[in-house]
Amino acid sequence: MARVTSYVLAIVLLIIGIVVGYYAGYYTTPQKTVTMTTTLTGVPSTTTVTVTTTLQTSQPSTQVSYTVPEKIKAAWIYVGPVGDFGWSYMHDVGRRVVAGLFKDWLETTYVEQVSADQSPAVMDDLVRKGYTVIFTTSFDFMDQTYDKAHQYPNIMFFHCSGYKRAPNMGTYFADLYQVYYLNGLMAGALTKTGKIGYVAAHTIPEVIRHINAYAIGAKEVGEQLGKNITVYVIEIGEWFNPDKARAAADTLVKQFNVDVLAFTEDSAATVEYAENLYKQGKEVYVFSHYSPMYEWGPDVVISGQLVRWEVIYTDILAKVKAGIYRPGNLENVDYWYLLNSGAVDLGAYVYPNGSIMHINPKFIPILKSIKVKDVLTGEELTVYDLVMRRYQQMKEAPLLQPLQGQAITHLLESIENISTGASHVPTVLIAPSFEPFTGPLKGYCLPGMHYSRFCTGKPDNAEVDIPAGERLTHDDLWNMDFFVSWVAFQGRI
Amino acid sequence: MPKVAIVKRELSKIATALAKVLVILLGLLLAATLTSIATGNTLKLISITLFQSFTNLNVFVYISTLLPTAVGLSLAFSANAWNLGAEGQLVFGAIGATFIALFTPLGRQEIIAPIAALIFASFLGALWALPAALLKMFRGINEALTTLLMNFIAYYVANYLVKGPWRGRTVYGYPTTDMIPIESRIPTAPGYSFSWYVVVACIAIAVLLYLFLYRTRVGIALRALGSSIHFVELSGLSSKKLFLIAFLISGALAGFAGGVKILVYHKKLVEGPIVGGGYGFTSIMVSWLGGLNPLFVIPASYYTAALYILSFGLQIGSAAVGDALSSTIVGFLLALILLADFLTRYRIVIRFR
Repeated sequence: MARVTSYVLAIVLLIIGIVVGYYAGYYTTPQKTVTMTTTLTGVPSTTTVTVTTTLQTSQPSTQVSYTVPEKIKAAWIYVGPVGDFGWSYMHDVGRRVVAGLFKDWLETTYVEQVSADQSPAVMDDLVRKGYTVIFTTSFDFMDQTYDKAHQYPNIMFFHCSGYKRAPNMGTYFADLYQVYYLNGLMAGALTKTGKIGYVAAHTIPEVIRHINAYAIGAKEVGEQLGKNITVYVIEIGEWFNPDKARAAADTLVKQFNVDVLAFTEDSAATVEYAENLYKQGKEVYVFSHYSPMYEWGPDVVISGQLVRWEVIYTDILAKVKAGIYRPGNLENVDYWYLLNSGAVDLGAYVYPNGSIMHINPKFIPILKSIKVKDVLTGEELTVYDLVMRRYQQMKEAPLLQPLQGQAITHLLESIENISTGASHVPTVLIAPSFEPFTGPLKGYCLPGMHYSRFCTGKPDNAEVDIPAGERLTHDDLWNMDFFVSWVAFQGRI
Repeated sequence: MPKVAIVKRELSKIATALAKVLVILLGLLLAATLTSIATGNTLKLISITLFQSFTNLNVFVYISTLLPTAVGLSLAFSANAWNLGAEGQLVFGAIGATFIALFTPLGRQEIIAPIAALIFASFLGALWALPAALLKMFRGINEALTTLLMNFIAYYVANYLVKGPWRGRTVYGYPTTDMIPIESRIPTAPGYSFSWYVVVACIAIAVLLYLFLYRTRVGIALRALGSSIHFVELSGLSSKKLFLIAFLISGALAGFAGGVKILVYHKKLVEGPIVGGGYGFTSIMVSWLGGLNPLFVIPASYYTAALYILSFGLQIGSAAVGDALSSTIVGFLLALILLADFLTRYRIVIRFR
């Protein structure tokens, strides 16, 4: 009996400890009451009604008083090390650009290798040290940034890649899907087997969009050259994992006979893998991702996607300095910058003078020797010229950028033109004259994801049919939850 | 050839504590000097950052995870129960807390929700420790190995949940659950990122476990398990049952810490390695740093927590020490602690012939 008692005693003690501790904490700590003072207008004497409420988080209760400081102190929080040569590296390049450009009035700092649960404490520390503009550059930080934005109504937060905003929290993103489409055009021209591969980090709408755009480009060229294009996709389930990326690339090449690879993973592992194969006498080409990875595979990198966060950071900080962005009016600030803004670009290498190598010179003669038709005009041209033409078409849309910075104007981005009624300027173009995601497109819904108007309320794997001429809107792209029919998803490793 | 020998020594408790504190202070001074040399910052600036890190109330963010886990582990280690699975038990606690908050009606009851979630988190943590304990008791399988390996199973169970059945409907395909209801979140102190309730609960747990371990018959027998099983058996208590108690309590407390991580910090379940974050492993070191005494684990967890804050604080502003160097400094300081621990218990004798 004594033994059983001691058992029970131990467990009971534990539970009592938890409960007593919790309640002790509950009653000993000061109640977090926020006093909201509302002055009623229209009442003769100045009657002040005081409402006392216990709140979960202290919310901005009064109008935020804010004056633009003489010197702006901005901080960046990175999820990885700056040396990852991917995501965090390119954000830090952006930070370095604005730090140099605005050096007269801008002071910057950064904290790297911060995990989601550590980020709130880091934000507290930054606020205490006087930073008033905080960029949190990982989707993982979304909810933590959102909470802190409520705690510090005077601080401006900008969160990269998320969808939660507050009066003092804006969002921003630079999307690569048009560049993936351009990469796809070249992949379709250069593949011999017609099988091309994609190493995906996570199958979230962003990556799904990349894969589809890449597949659409590859088919546009490949089909004309008599190739039966299939895009094989393996998901690795992590943003940064060189080993898994290498293993996925290896599976794609060995098992599926893939000879052109693209990827979304924050390291140069896939590029290195292809370069090693080349040295062993097997030609598998690859597109560099996010940062300029040409130097890791000069023989195999055709081109790639580059991001220029400095375009967005310059815009944000210039507007902060001018007093346009203030805590209290960021609710609709939502950058979704595409090729036209210059926040993303086609290329795999940045020359020392700052210009970009769009296509590896090694592949230019081959691309110039392959002739295809522009599906829009029927005109015959080389693949190289087609890539450049599409690049220009998507780049030239001067009215687009003002619409891409605000949540409330995103839906206008897909308007093709506006009729003015003026006799000499009858129409003005809005959207780029070419959009990869234009019907006819056929696809299938992904299991377990029903966000878009094509798949909501439909069973898994339901067919998606986008009629000819229909151009997908910002929201369709943002919620993309289907693959085009020639994408073969091989699951996760 | 000189002969080197390591000889055990017995220092008084006060001398041991003094020696450790001295090593810590010297280590900090050394670290500050080295950092200022390596980065060209003034010693004053580095010292200010050091001071700020140790006085930053956000140390409680880390203490809330490290303290309960380490206290549980010090109990287990005193009883010779080599539970290296705190990380996995923590992850299971997180799973338990998420389950209560997100999938049961309890999650929407104010005050009840966090308490229920924490109790269930502790329960699941203990449950995840149980197989290793049973395997040891009935099959003699080394518990250090089984618990260590079960950490990874726990990671993958959490990964499976967030990528499979528990994946949120509003998370755009990201591997997380939906946010837990506001009623089950534990509010944080204004201007900081920890919860006073949890801090008080953690310290209460440490004190209660100290009383249990040093003032009750079972507790004293538990500690004796580490040195002599025969003595314990002679006193009429079953060594197996004591072993099981030690194991379950340490598992429950790691689970509690996991629950805290969900209710205060993540507010949703995320992938296993992100929930765990290595805190289960760090706690092992914290418990040794505190000499396996629950009361001393409190300053030990404070010191380790301050080092976490320091590693970020050093990166901010004019100090601008990169993560690589700041992690090196923190690692150096922790290594010094182990050295101090060694030197207080052994002395090195060198004889020349």
